[in-house]
Amino acid sequence: MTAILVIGYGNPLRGDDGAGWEAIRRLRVLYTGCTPDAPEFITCQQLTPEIAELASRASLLIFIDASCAGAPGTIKIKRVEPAEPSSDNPFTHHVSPAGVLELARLLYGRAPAAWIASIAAESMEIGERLTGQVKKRLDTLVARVSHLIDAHIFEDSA
Amino acid sequence: MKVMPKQIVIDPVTRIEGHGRITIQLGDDGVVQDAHFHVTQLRGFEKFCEGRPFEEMPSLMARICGICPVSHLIAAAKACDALLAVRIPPTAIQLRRIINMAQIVQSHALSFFHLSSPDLLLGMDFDPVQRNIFGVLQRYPDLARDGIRLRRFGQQIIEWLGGKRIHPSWVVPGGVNEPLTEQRRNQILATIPEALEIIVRTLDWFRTAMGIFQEEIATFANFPTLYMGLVNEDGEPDYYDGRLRVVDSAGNVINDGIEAAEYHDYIGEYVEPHSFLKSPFYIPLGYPEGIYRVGPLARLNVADRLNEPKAYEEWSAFRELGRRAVQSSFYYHYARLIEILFCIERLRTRLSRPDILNKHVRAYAEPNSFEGVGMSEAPRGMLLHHYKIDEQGLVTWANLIIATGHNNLAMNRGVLQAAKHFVKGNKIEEPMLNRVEAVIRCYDPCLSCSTHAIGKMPLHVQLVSADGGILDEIKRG
Repeated sequence: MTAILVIGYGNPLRGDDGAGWEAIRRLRVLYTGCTPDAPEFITCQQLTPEIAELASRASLLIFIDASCAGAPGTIKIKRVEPAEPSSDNPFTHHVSPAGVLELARLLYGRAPAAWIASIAAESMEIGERLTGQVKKRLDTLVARVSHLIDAHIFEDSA
Repeated sequence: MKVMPKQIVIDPVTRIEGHGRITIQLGDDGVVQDAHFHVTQLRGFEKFCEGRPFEEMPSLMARICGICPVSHLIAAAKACDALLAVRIPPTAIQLRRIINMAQIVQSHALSFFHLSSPDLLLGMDFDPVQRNIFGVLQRYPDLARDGIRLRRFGQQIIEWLGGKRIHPSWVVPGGVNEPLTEQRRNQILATIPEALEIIVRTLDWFRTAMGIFQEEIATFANFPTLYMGLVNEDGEPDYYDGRLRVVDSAGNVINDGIEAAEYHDYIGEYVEPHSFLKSPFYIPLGYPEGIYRVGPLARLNVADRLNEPKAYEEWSAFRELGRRAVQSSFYYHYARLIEILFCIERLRTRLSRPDILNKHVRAYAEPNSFEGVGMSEAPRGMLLHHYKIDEQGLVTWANLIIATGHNNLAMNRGVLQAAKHFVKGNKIEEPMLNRVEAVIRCYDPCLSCSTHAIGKMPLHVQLVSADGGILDEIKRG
């Protein structure tokens, strides 16, 4: 069973939309050598229904994404619960975090506890670089995600 | 007295890849007079690649599509092989074949399970609010799980070979950039039995399910056309290479062995004012008589055989559906499933050969030709990339004929046939419009490739008289 699954998603060719990918890169470095509790880290451009199966086998799932809301660099960490896609946005081959959880619940019988960690983007124009505020605040985002992971590991082992 | 036309507009067409619109013209008596499928987006890849070094073309062209990037990668790499004028190592060819088949499996699984299964499982008349993949997984979770597993099977192979699922860069001019390891080969082989079980189970269900769609089978683009596809020397469908074969509606081979570089002698491109998508036609028969179809239905119609046991059995049953060529586009769904079966069996065959692990997988050269054409089969049909370069190796001109384009004439005629059968009078009923859309879905058109149209997008249909009066109107979403 994958105990902890962390998914960074977005388009790394569109500026700050690649923040999830960069966060995962830093988290991988942080957890190198951390066994047997090492989280599984995944990067992808968008969430797809196939992720539901992996999600169903996790006890904790953290999504990391760039957000269009708020001042650039603003970090938000919030719980996410399984939910059907809204009627005007039913998925086919891409899906929301809540949709991944709902798929996991419906198809595989369980959905993990899940969080979404987002950082507000300044620019999603074409380019592979993060902009100033996002770059500056990304370590804070990584630290807060790391805190969630460590708390879960501690909780499990207590 | 002048008959005032009326028009029904379906905008956007849902559960397809990209943005399209359907218009249906009615006469005063409410009878359908004409119908068109319009592609309303413009990409411009042929223009903005001009001036780029030719080596970049595979990576650039893969960006055309988020669903079938491997197809563009392969057609582009083959066009570049022609520019280099090299013979690429046999193992590289086999590896390219493998990644292309993996992509066909995942793309067909997406089309069948995610986009079309709501119509097929829940029914064309089902509540449109629920008639989407979510409705399917609530009522048929086993089938939904199968769809997810099968798509993952194909994507996983692409990722294992190409490094990532979308836009892998493993296929390069001259071959591929890394050989296959024994460990990877064994990993892929280990996933094949489950994939086979899934597709056999799905085919068992679908054969039975087709019985309730007789009206759709009879009216979903069920008319004679030509069929076009690549075949190998043994007459099997060849997804990577081979020569182009054309058969008529009676199943007669009317042209065989067309080489990639000869395509412009046989395929013309007509531009209709109502669409950004060109309308290719078979030049010897002219426009529009040279209407033809490509993709799963066409490939199974042009083939002489499938040399894999289960796929052969299924293909034989498929060919029994038509006395000559199988005509109804509804059978694209069935053909798609048969191709998945064939690809999985063929993947096992190819991967079991010891030479698949050979280390020599790339040939190196400078450009030796100023012009190159690459032709291969994408999930939706035959794909052509044609490039010209200058002495510095910079692209000066590019022409792409994509699978969905080949089917444009047939899609338009199919929409008209279904509209004439299902759309009656001045009252719009959602199920009748869904059937008109479903004709388009049979072809699994990929209109934007990178823009992802989804399950049940908002649909706004108006029945408008020539003087602008709204006779009827429905909205969903």
